[in-house]
Amino acid sequence: MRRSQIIPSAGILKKSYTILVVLLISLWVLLSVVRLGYNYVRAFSSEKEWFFMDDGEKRVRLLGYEHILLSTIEKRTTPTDSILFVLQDMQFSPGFGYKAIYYLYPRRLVFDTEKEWSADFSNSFSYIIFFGNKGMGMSKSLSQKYELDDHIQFDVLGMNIYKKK
Amino acid sequence: MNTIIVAVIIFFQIVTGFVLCQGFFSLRKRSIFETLPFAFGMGVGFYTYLLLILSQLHIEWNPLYILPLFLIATIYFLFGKKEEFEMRFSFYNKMTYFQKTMLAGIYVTVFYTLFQALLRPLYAWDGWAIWLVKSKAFYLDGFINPVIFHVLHDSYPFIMSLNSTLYYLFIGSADDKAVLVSYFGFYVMSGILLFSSFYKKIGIYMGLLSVFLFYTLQNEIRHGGRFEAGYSDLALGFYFFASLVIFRFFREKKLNSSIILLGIFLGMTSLIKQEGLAMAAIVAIQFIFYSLKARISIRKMILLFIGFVPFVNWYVFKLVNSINGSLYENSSFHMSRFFEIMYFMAKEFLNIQNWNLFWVVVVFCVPIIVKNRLIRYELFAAAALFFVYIGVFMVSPHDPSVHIPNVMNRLLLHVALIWFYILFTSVYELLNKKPIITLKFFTEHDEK
Repeated sequence: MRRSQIIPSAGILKKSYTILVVLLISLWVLLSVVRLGYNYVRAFSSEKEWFFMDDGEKRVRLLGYEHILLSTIEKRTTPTDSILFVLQDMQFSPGFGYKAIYYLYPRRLVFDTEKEWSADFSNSFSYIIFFGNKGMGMSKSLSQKYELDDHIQFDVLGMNIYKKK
Repeated sequence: MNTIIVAVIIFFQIVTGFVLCQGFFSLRKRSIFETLPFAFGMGVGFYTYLLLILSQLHIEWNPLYILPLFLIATIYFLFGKKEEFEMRFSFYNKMTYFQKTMLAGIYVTVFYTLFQALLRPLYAWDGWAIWLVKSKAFYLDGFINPVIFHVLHDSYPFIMSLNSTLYYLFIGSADDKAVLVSYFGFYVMSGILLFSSFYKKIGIYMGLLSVFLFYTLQNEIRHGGRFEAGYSDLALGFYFFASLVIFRFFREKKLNSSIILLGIFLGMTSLIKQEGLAMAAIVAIQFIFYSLKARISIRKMILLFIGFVPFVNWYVFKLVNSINGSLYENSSFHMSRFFEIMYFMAKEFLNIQNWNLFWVVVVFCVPIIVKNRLIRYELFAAAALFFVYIGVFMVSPHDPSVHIPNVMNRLLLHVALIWFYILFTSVYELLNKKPIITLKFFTEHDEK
């Protein structure tokens, strides 16, 4: 058998390549149409409940307890207040600090962990907020200067807002 | 109601952009449809620059100071040189039934994304942590207060944040749900820009097909309205591609006003995100290279750098206020990461959920893309940016196995428009040079 009979000519290769490109694009179009249809089906089935929620409910759905906590703090404090957050640990709620800044700017915010915060240091804040998934309180020395302003309890999470007397 | 206010402000931004692009720059001879995306980009940039200047001059950000500008722009748009603002959708009347069906598919996709943009409040992480948090801070402070940059430990540029601040000023509150419409605006304008950039070259069939495929990419839909509206990557990709299109306009007619317009768009690109500076540098280098080759005088070339004045202003502002939150300050170079980076990039290319078959087709079409000399500048820009990103991952202080998968889908958004342009121009060339009877309708122009 001659070599030219085994190896397809450049013309056939080019034609095959062109057809493959067109087939791939056609498949892409088909998948896009299917995906678009799926998007609409999903919008009117699993996502239907979003239509009937008010803005607050949507934010709770997206951010969970963080929205409730931060919007409560926003309502209870003024823009000039300084707030110390005492968290169980910094990894307890990833990104909580950024969300807190977003909700509470221009309030001055400081974040600390339950293990490391210092009672002396804490005296300079208008509010101290304890936030964790088990009972978190405050030291006796601080309780003379701060009083419990609000408490929010979820299933396992709790937040105590202490206000300077 | 707030969403309607944002939509109205976007309308006035577009009108102002039209007046600037068609009245003062090189888009005079182009139809409204072709100018629309540039007008949008220009309008967004113009009003953010205005807020920046007012802030630096210690002038209050009062919507009443901005309203006269809207009014003047509208009067000029309606009554000044009316023949240049003629609505020219000439191609629409000549469209076939099949083309109109494709257009309907585009409308259905865009409507879905708009619906998603209106459905939920802000959820995108960068919206919380970078862009809209600063919009809110600027709005509450009434000026660009450097404190917020120190609080957030970042030094990201201002255009996207200030643009939302503009909407907040007119709304009268920091409504982060309403401003998501502006991110949808970048989604829509990206598609229009893509179509208008090459439909005369590749025909309406192929143009509409590419726009439909672009709009239906799930990653674009997410950033345009569904869950990830609030990231600035779509806007960055838009400005980068718009700059490359203007660079092509310049190569075609070599007008001085094109150089200024290119400089303005490159300046804006560098002020969307930090990656924008690399993009602007790549296009500026190409511009200088081309100008030297085409014997363009140095005096003309310098016009390009007028557009970078706001960037210099921003850089000085950062220096004066000691704003420097770069992640890469104390990084070192890790050559050993190369294969890992390639692996994660390839993985994202094959992420059909995000990109459908887009990158698969791009890779498959590499042989025709590299041969196509019509798109060599766009190809150089897109390829150079890939190398920049590879370099960034090599010096990143983060673990690449975590960092790359987290950001890769967004980095590819920056170049998606350019690759669509490159891909469909090359496929058109392939089909046009070697027509196969059954595929002829893909390459037919409406004029034929």
